[in-house]
Amino acid sequence: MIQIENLSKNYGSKVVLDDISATFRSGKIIGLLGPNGAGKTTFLKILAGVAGDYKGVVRVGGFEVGPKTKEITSYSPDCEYLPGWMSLNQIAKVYSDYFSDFNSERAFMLAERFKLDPKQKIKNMSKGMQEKIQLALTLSRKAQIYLLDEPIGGVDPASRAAIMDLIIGEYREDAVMIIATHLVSDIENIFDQVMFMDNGKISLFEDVEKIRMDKNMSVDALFKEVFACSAT
Amino acid sequence: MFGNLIKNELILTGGPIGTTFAVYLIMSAVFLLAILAGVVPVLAGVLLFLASLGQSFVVLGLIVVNYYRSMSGRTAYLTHTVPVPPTHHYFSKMIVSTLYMFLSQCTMLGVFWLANQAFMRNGGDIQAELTRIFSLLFESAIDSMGISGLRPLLPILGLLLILLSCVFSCATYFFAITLGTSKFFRKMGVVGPIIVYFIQSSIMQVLVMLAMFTIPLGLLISLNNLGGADSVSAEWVNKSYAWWFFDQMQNNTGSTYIGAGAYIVQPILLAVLVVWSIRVVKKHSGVR
Repeated sequence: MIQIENLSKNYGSKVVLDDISATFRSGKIIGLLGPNGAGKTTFLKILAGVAGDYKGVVRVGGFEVGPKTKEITSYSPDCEYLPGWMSLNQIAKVYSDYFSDFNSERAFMLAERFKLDPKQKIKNMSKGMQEKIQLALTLSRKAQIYLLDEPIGGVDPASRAAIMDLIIGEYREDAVMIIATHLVSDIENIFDQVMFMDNGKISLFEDVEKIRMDKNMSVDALFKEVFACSAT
Repeated sequence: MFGNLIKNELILTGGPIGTTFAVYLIMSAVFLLAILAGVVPVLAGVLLFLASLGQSFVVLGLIVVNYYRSMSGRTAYLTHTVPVPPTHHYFSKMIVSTLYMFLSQCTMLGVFWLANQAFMRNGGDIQAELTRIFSLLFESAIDSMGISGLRPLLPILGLLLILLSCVFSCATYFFAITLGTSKFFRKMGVVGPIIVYFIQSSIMQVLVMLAMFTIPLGLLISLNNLGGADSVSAEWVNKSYAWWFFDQMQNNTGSTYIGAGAYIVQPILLAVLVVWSIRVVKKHSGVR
């Protein structure tokens, strides 16, 4: 589904992604884990097609990143990106115009599930509510690739379980979902695979079951062990 | 999809710009009524002029801010995930922004015309005299350029020139923002587009002046009895403005000359700005 070969990207003199190669297959939920500045967000931005000027080959669904890959990729960034003066009612119309796979009824159903008022302006919502709206919009597309950057970062613990249920409910054999997060313990149960990133490199890309079997520890424990070492 | 981009661009920018137009029209109506009623007409005229300038600057500001936000700011995440090539984003914004800027300029001119009519109806001798002089100069200019036969088309030509100036303005500002927010100027923040704008404007002014001086094509206009604005001849010549300038310095014949090279170079510069902006959007820009 996604093939990456020798992907590198710099911001000025700083190397953000350093010669990464990986393949992501459909039917998997993949956790993209790493400390701040590891390159997770840049990695997702490149896959989503919102950041260019990189070296290497990135193919999504068999195509180089561009309009064709954007048709099948649903992306939720780690910041609030919706126009603040709009409400869900208005933004759903914009999504319907832009994305042929967007299901507005589903977006309203998810908003209702999150107890969000579709008439409320986005700028008047809290950070957590805005994240829920963004997630509802992203998951209301019937895409083949879902890229979620910190989907539960600003959400209260009570809502996290609901979001986890929602993400699991979206699981499809023909889709791949990549989730970047710091909150490993909250979310690790839904991952099929995890990819650890550090200093722009992939330090581990493994099935979660294999980690649990071979190392006899949870992903969270392994994450703390690996990145505690790298921090010292 | 391009139609959807245009539609949503109209909606996204339409709210604040529509509000600006509405406020401006209400203010203009009040000031025009004051002029008609003869209640502090001079003050009302000055305020009308300031409101017109204000409206023009606010619309320009909204266009610039919207382009920045949707191409490089937070809402760029939405813009750049839409499955269309960057050229579609650029041209949809260019079309809608040009339309709003054109409406802004036309509204302003319309209000100025109404203000002039109101002053004249109110017995404004100065306005009447100014209008007469401007009309004479206008007629004279048409005659001297040999386009009297095109008189019915002149309003359309005027609107077309305003439209072209709006396209040129949008291309200039969009280029400054696009290049000024690319990776080369990223660390400078908002200063980046400002620096690019001034450098680009300076270079373009120099190029236009160079074209005016060096391209051997111009319109020679001989005038006499200037007080009456009576022109006698117009002739297309193929000598450079520089030649004419030095000729004038030595021998003042009472002729004047319009260097046409500038008008040849400007569309080329416009095309360069558009193509360069799209290249930068494709390769270097993106969300911050």
